Amino acid sequence: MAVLPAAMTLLEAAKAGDDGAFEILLQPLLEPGYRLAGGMLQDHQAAQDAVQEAAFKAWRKLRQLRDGSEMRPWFLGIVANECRSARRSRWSSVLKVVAPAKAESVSADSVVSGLELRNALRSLDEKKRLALVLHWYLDLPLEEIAAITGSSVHAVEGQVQRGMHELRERMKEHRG
Amino acid sequence: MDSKQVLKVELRRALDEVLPPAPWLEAAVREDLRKRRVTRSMDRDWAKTRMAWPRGGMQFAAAMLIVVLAAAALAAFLDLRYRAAHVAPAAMDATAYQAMVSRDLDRLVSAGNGVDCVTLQSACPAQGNPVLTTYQRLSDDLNGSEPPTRFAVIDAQLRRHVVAAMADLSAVRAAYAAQDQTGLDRANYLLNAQGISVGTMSRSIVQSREGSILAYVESLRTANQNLALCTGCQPLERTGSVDCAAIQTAVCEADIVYATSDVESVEAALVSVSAPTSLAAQDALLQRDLARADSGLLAMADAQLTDDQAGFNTGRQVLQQALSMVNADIAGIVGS
Repeated sequence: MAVLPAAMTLLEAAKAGDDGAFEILLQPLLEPGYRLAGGMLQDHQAAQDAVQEAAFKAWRKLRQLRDGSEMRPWFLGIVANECRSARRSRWSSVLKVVAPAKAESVSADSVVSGLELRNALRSLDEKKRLALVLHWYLDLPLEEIAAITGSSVHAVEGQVQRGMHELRERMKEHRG
Repeated sequence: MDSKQVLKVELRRALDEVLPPAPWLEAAVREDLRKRRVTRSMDRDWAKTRMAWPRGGMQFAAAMLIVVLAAAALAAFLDLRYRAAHVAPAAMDATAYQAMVSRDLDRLVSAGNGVDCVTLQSACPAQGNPVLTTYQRLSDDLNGSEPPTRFAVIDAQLRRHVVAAMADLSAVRAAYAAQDQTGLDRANYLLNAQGISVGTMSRSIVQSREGSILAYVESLRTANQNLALCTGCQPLERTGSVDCAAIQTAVCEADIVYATSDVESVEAALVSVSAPTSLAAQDALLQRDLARADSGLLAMADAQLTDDQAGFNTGRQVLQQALSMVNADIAGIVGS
């Protein structure tokens, strides 16, 4: 998707130090940023913290965004990095992690519970989880996910496929 | 739908369950950015000062550098202290202020999960207690902001309770470190009471909306039913009351906690449904007198912690005077 001339003007203004222009550019990115962080961290407070931190880092590093580049993948990449840091920090260790609960009467066709799915998603490795959240939860195309993660479209496609497969396997394990 | 689609839909639903909509996010991010830009520009000023230091011959320069570094560091330190003391906090609009308090309240609730310092056998975190960290953050946020006028009184009270909660939390940790279960019980009891106060006040701010005359009066009337019955207030107001003959007793502590709860429920009601313009002056008087009653109770609770009878008596006097004013204020509004 081409960057609109008006957006270029805003971006140039933001790079030149216009904080108002930066906030206008940032505003439509906050909701997807929050959903990405929420999908990765599964805690709305931690998600908000990650978005706030990412917004500040984006403001500081805006000059590193190359002219003609899209701001959304760049910003979501920063959010993804923040999620990685948040999970490693001590703070995440105090977040309440709910133990997987066995469904009372589970048949093969029954609707899976949200808790089981969240636990299964959490158990995936970071790359697959990120690819699944971006593709399935944020509905982003593979090309944009590749730009966010700094990998090829082919690699992202593989991560989504393997992530989906593992998710199904984990669900089977949870169900016993 | 094929199985992939089913899984996708279920995953989205599962994540939506833990991710409520965040309409306040934009205001919160903007406010956070604004604060951090100010801090960063102060850091940049300091860095520029450092870059301007002189260079000369190697040894002389090294010696001078040390001297200048020390002087510059001192100057920067004094400058920062001066700024910290003299820069007025930024005025906030109501939405941003509510978003800030909401965020901090959520953090407090999250931080409290899994933290257990109730018995000596609990795994009570020693350093970096997440609850203390979040109380400190709430305190910093409140101190770094100027609330909108309608939240000015509750904001001041909230700050006092946050400080008291941090003191109680320190008492909990001290009692735990000293392996003193009796002290731990009392400090936890007082900490929980402060936690309720902080929660009540914060929620009233978060939920605050402008009300009609009818809604405001009805909200006040309902909250006043508790205050009229206030079981804790009567023994506290009476100087010769048996309940507080000794101030570090469970019954005296309970009186303070109950009285505080009843006073604060009226404070919260006034904030939750804010006064229409025609009642603004009377509302301001009532809020001021309630805050005084609340401060009297807070002084009594503080005095309990240190077994300070004189401080307790001073708090009691403030409470007596304030409650009589509160009753008159409420009668003036509800009867008007």
